[in-house]
Amino acid sequence: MLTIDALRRLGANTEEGLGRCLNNEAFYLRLVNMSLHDAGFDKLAAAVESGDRKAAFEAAHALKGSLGNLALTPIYTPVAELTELLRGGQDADYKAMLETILLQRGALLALCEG
Amino acid sequence: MSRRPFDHKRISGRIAIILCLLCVIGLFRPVPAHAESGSELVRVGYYENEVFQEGAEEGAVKTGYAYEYYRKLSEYTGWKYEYVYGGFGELYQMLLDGRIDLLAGLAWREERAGLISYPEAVMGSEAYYLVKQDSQTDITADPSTLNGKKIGVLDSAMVSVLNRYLEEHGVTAEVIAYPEHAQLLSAFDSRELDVFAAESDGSYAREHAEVLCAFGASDYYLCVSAGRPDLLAELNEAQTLLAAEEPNYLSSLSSKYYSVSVTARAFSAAEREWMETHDTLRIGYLENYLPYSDTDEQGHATGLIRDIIPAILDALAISDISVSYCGYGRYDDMVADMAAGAIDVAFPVGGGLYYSEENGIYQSTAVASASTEIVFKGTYSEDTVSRFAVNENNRMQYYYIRTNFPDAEISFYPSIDDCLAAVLSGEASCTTLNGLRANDILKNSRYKGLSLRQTGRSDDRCFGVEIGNEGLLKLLNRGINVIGSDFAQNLSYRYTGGLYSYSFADVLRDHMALFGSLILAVAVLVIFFLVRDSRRTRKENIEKESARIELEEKNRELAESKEALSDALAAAEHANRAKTAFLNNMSHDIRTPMNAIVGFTALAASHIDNKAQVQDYLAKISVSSRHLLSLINDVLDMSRIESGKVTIDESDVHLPDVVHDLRTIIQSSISDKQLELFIDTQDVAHEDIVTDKLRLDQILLNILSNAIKFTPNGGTISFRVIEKPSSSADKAVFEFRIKDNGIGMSEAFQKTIFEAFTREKSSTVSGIQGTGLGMAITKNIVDMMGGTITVRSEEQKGSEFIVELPFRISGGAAKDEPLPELLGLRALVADDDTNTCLSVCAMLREIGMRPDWTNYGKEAVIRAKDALDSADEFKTYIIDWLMPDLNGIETVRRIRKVIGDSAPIIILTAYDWADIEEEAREAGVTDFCSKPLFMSELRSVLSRPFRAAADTEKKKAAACDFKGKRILLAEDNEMNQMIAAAILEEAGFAIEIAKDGVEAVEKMSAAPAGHYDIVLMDVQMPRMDGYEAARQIRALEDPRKAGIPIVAVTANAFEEDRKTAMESGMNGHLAKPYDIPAIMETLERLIS
Repeated sequence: MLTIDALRRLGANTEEGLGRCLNNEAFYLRLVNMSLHDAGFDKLAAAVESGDRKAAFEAAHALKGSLGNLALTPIYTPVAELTELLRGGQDADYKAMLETILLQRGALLALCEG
Repeated sequence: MSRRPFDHKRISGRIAIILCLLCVIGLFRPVPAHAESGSELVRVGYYENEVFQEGAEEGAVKTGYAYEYYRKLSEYTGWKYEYVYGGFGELYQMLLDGRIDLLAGLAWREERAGLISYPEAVMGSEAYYLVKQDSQTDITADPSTLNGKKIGVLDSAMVSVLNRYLEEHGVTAEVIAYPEHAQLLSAFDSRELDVFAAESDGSYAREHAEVLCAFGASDYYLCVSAGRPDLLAELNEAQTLLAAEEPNYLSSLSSKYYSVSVTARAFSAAEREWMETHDTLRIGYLENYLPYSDTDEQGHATGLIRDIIPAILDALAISDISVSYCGYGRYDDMVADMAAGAIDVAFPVGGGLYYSEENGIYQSTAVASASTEIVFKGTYSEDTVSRFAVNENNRMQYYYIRTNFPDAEISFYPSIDDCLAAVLSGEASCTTLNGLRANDILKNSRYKGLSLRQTGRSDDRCFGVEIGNEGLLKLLNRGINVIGSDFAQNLSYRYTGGLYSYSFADVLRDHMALFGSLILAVAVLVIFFLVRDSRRTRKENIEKESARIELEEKNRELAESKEALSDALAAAEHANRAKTAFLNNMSHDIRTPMNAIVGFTALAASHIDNKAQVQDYLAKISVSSRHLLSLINDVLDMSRIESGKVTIDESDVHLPDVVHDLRTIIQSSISDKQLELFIDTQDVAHEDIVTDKLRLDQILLNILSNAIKFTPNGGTISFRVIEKPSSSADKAVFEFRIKDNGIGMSEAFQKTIFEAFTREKSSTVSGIQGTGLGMAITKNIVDMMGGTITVRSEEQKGSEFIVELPFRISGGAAKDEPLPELLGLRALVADDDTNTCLSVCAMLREIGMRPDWTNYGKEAVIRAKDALDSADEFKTYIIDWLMPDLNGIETVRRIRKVIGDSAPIIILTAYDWADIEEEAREAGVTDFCSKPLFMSELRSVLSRPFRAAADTEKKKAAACDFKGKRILLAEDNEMNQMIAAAILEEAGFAIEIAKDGVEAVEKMSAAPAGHYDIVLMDVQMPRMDGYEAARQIRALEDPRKAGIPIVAVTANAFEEDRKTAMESGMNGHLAKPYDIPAIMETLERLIS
């Protein structure tokens, strides 16, 4: 079940996220659900796989924005890190970082489906 | 290249005769070139060929065997060269046509002899090898495995040699001839060829190549155009003279360029067999024979032997063999053990071939070839070498003397020191020392009376291997060749230091004459003055006095101008000296990590299968590389500062951010060294300043990391930020004090610490590395920012750096008006650091509260109870997380028991509180604040719990304000659109959404003026970003539309983002994720 408590247990800063949604739990959870099903994750994965850094940056940046607003810390943090590295055009093990992101997303998605 | 095999018996027989003849002729006839004032211009064909002849283009640096040979010839002929560049084929044609005069590297061929002229003497010779792709395991040294393979060869003399070889061995292979070297090599590199034919001297740099076998050899010549018999004659003459005057020239040139040839790493069958049958290498070495070998205090082998064996194994890429060392006090014992099979290699051996045969050993190629020095007393004569003192434990010495001085009388002594003593006492007339040892041994003051004389006959120090053990001998010889003959020479200095000792008594003795004459001179002077003064009468004194005053006046004038001059000179000299010293230090400091990197890389390579070990090495490499990088960065930084390239780039800075960031950066080094770090603030009223944050960080970080570096484990570092009274209302003056209780500095050093290129002690002494640039860089930046930096320090007690910097104040002055709802209320501060208590209390007082403080958690609990009992309870508690008697969380828990939920309790901590947050909240903590506490943070945290109710009311009031306002939200992310819409609708806005910059501009221009009240503009959007959209809106014709307030929303709170937003005409800047109060505040400000 996707609940505030479950999100909090996974490390999300629900207080902050809820605050941004004017403490409307249903609204917040709906947005969380949407953000986890965001097609941006697939775009990001495809771009990282194909080594298209520009596309990867754009996808990561968009995800960073929404995840940040929802304060989904466990997934926001690696996405933000990836975004900054891509912004700087640095060489890094993007695939490993992508894995972390997808792993976290998986954990959160499990809540939605469970 | 085309070098043809030829019948050289014919020539070599004649060379000697001709050589002699020409020598004689040469004596009576001047060299023609010299006669013509030595400036004949000779055109040389110059084609590119690895190692042999490199740099074949205009302006390129030329090197190589052939090039050096041309230069050498010029010494004999006076020729000047004009180099003509081209491919070999092209140049050969030019030689035939007489368009060039000389072309190198041609083999002798009957049919060519009429077309071009060959000189009498060869230019060099080489062997031809077959080289295969290393992956081709089906090709072996057995020629029949070449059947059906593709073999590439240069279209040259080699083709016929190769064909003959294949024919002789009945091989049918596809031989492909290439016109140019480059084509052949690229065909091999691209693996079109299975095998290619190489000269022994080429292609050694190819990793995928493996040598199969030799298939022929050839001499080659420097050929002359047929039309230039005059040059041919000069060439012949020069070569003859060269051969007479420098007989080893060609062989040394060849070893210089071709020592590491294609064959260097191809093991012979005997070597392979040895390697296959052995997994250990047992080394016996002679003790007490530095720099070659000795046993150190821990009982390990030391000296060159310790370096050279690993170096050889490494060079030959032999990694699966373990090496053991065994020291011998006596040479005979070592040789006996070798005969008994207890060791494989003895080191060093020497003294001549005859005795090594007697001992049953092969001598390897020389590891070190040093002359033998005769050590004697007094003057050298024939008699000096008549009676030798010989160390009975060092047979090499005995053999050498027996071989070279067969008639000398020999007496034996147990050690070389005894031999030298015997020479000193006259018991023996001389002894010998190996050249690498002699100088350092004779530095000992007890051998002062002894002199050295080189014999000129060198005595090689070699590895000894038992006769018959051919494989190992060849392996060692190969290794010695690969590491180079200067390897031992280059490393010997490391070990010769131990050969002599220099005591204080030696100093005294050495300088006895100097000390004595100094004392004498002082005594004489004293007596002279006493006598003179007593004779001088008063009258004379007065007369002289006036003359003296006049003279002094003149002198002073002179001295002043002289002083000015010498000051300038001294300054220049000082700078120069400092730079030299710096270079010396730097080269050491750079070499140290570099050596570590090289060394550990080699170690890692040799332990590649041991993952843990390799990881350990990599970690060490990483540390050293980072250190090296920081050195280089410092040097670059300094040179940028010195050349005036650094500028101060000012922007708005929030001081608490600077301080908290610094703490985060140094936290890990602080905890690594178990240091205690105290950061506090005092009287800070202006938190928003204008400065270059990067440079301010650099200043403070440099000082802080020095403090960390020079403070031993367990020490304390304090960092205090103090705002000083300022003379100007728009300026704030800050003092940053960084104090440690580390090793401190001498007074002398404190005076030069801010000069470039200085350091208290070189890193070898202090054990702490650095460039000596950090403080100079810091000082320069402080100067550029208009501040001052001073230091107080005492050795072994610690240092304190004080940086004072003026800043412009940005934004409004810090709010120091009281918080009305807290006015007059009591607050309790508990922190074990009194300074923190005082500074927090001062802030609380400014807010209007009545603070109390204590250093103890337990006391805080008692006071809470006491206050409650006396009906004047504390309305706020600020508790330190870490207190010695009772930790913060426990203190809070106990206070909560007393006061219930009646007042907020704030935890003050220097650490990230994420880990403790849950526990703390459970214990009743209301909020957290990081240390050091700044006024703005204190105000914000205190307003939260108390103003919550008031806030909601206010917010509602504010929300009403936005009723009827319309906002254009440019945002591409759907989720963010929803959240923003929710927030903004709640605040009363009507919202229209544009999903990128283009749409935003379109909507703006389509809507009537005044339709929108404000634009909230995301920056990163597809098609057109927010900056561009803002610029286009600003460029709209209708001034009301163009003037609409625009707020940028970016994912970063970076200063540069804010700047760019402002530059593109926006009015404000908000950070993502959304901060509702900040949004409301900004919107309110811009709309009203």
